[in-house]
Amino acid sequence: MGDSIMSYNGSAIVVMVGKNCVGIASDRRFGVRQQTVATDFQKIYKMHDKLFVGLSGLATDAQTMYEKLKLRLNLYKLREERDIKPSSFSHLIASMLYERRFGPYFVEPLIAGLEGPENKPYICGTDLIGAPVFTNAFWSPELAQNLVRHVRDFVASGFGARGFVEVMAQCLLSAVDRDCLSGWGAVVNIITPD
Amino acid sequence: QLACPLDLGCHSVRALGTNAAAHYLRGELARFLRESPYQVNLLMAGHDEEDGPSLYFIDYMASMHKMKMAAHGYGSYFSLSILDRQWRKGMPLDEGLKLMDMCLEEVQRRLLLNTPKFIVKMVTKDGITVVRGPGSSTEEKAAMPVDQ
Repeated sequence: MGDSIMSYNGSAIVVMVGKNCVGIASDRRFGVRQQTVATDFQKIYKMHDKLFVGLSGLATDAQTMYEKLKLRLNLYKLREERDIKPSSFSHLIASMLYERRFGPYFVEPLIAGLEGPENKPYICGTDLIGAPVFTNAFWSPELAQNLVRHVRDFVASGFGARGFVEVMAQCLLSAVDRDCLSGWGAVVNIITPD
Repeated sequence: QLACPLDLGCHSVRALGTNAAAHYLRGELARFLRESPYQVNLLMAGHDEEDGPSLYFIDYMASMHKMKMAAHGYGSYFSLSILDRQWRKGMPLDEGLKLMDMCLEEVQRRLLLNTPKFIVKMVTKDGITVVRGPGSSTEEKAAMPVDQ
């Protein structure tokens, strides 16, 4: 039962770096405390061809956050006439979250993208007030950390795209099997240079 | 063609689509969530020419999801289970109404508070009809005695 507002709706999202690709996977459950309301809820959004963002935490804030991000990105695209870099995007999210430092959005976003002309894999996660974590391997939000601890055994840096799907799917599924507030299926998105 | 029901100063003469209405409502709930929250859970059902019928589940915290079948409240614990088992895509109307009746019956049976009368309304391309309850053609079908 959610005594934490972050686990009120229940969600598990993982980002991982593979060989020349990045993956982001989420479960599909939308719940209200212990009751499951829907099993086809979207938590990962495509911002542009080389950038995905996964929003875990409170569903209403995740939806509001996505709408705000879509607005900011559309304005960015109009002004800059190009797609935003994943690293810039993660700084954007971090500052948007910190703006609400003392009344935060209860979302922990995860960013996955390919950066620059060499399509270098980039992943980032932040906490609900925008403290970013840049890693090379994988990340998942605070509550799911315990669940994906075993992901360390799976670190997929050597996997190309096809094997990678399997790795990510297995990681997420074994993680959500241990959490009654997430699950009901999974979506795995892999970004490759093509 | 209906005039825009929301007086936003726009001159739209197109009926507000279900998707648009649901998103608008969610936006309002989300805005007031951190000011003075509305404590209402709602289901928005509508029929559009392009999208057909659609149902939106909106929480009091403005979490929104487009669903095929939905319920709020304590009754949802029972209704959703029945709907999970019985609902299928493309159900004909009479079966759908029977399914609705099954849910209402279960709610009346299982919950403490006596709720003998329900209003059931139906939204189709021809508009809104009252199917059960006052104004419907089947007046007394609403209540099923609990001890039967």
